[in-house]
Amino acid sequence: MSQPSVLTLYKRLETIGRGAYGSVSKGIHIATGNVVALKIIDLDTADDDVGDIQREVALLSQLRDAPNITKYFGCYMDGPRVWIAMEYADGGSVLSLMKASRGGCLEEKFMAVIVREVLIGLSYLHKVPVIHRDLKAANVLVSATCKVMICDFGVSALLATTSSKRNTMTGTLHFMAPEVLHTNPAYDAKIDIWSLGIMIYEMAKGSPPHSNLASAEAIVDTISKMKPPRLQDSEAGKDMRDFMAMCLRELPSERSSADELYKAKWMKSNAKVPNSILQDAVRRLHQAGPRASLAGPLAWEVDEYVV
Amino acid sequence: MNFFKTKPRTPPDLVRGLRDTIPRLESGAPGADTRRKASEDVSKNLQQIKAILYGDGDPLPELVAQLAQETYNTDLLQHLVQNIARFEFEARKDVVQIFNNLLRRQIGSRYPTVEYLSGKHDILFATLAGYENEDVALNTGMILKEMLRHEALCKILLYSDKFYNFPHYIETTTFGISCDAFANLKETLTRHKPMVAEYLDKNYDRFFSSFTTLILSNNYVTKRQSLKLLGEILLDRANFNVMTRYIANETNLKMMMNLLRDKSKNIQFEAFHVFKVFVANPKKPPQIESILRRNKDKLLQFLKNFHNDKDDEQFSDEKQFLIVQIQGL
Repeated sequence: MSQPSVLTLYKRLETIGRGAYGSVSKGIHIATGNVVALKIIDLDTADDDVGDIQREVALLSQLRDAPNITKYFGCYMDGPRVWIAMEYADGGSVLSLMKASRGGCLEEKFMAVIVREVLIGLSYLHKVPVIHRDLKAANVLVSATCKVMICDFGVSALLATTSSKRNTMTGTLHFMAPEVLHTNPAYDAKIDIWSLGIMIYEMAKGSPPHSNLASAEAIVDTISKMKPPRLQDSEAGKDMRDFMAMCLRELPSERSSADELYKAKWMKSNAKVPNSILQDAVRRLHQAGPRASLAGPLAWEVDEYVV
Repeated sequence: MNFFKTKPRTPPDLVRGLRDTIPRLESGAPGADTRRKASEDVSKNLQQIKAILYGDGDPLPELVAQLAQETYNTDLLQHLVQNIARFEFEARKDVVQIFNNLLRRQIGSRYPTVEYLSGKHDILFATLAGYENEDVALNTGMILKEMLRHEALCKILLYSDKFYNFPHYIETTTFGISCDAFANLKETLTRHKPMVAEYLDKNYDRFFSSFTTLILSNNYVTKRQSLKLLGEILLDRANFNVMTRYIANETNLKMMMNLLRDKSKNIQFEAFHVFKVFVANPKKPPQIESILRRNKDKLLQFLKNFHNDKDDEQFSDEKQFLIVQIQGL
């Protein structure tokens, strides 16, 4: 007996994102009516590696009970495509919240809550131990109920391994810790802490440091040679600046762990702030208008319907 | 000084405590307090055992030795694998870490756990049977993978009828588990080459009639991975005899010629790497040569347009070589 078709389990709705790897669609779990995100990856391309996706899925299965991580529901074959069913965040990414805000950056009160919730997720991951490897505002989601979730595991690592997807790699380079950029990188969970520091910078300033640099070589060169970025006194409160500095230490051994950061002053003074404070930021996003709809069939669907 | 601090339990206490708690997971009504308590105790014991084995990166050899010995004495590993589905989610991961740590344990050139398991085939088979339960399949799959690194254990699996459960597991599970089962099938067939070559030679018919079902699978990933694995098996020097038999069979050749025209480019490409062996064979049996000769014009036409967009010098060379070979028929 083989597996039932994924088409009897999930109904695909509109596309909400597209990339070189495939697409992400909104979908409905038919049995429960729950809304999900469906990541659909075409495996019949020249440069994919089934092994990468397999590792990704195995990892997601191990993170079933992880807090503040997008939930994984299952993974199914559909012809040469694989569907990964994940929790759907109906708010938006932190990056989209930033873009809907004045000046393209977030207020400190929102940042504190987002960082606090990200730390809860990172603390769990790092104990597994799993390194996320691609933490940034675009990979942290906020739901309509103000739940903060880290998303995009390994599929991002997957992207970074494949030459054809170098653009995505460039976008992410800004967040990379110096030790990742060494010729023979040897790194641990502390690279996520560095990326968290860069994400704070990104939320405060609207973009990561060195975002004016276009070429990958220039970014790698700059991150390797420059002192870790810091915010000016006028750009953020002292607790937040101190916190960011604890994340952005050149030597991984001197960087704080997720658990240590959770006890830092900036976090402690915001420990009791409810997640619902983010409602204002989410509302701004909705007022900014719905994102351009990508409704309509995907390329492979067109192919199949014509045939 | 903390008067209430309990004395740490010795490894034998922990192991026996765990083994005795496992049956209590089934006692009382489902959801009853006794079960919940037993489940918590199992998780706690597993954590403590793990702590001894990993000991903050610096485990005490003496404690580890006691612990290992007690797991053999009590058949703990068997209880763990057979009951893993009853454990809490995080406890299942601890089982994997404990099991695999013990499997890697070495004294000189000996692997005590491997020696122990070599006499306990049921533990190996119970681990394989983990693929029957979606909730634990990836946990048991990780243990199986660690077992297969050892030739003695790999050989037990390969030579048993249970080995032929792999296609069933690969075909009837969801993507992640199917891939894991396939990866372990591949591990069984490629890690210990001389041992496997002897097996394939002796069990040629049974093996290939089973393996062919995977190549003809409706599952894209299974089809593609098994075709690729077939190519690797045939092109390995250790399997020379097996290859010679495979490429003398006209049904096999016909199957590859059909797969060359599969709608998936990747499957065509993998089929090419098996097809080329039939053509490159300097001593083609008459039945093979006759099929190739009958299809000469079509094959030449086909190969001239086959994956011309591929930027791969070795592939281009091989294709050119095949064209010359077929022209010369």
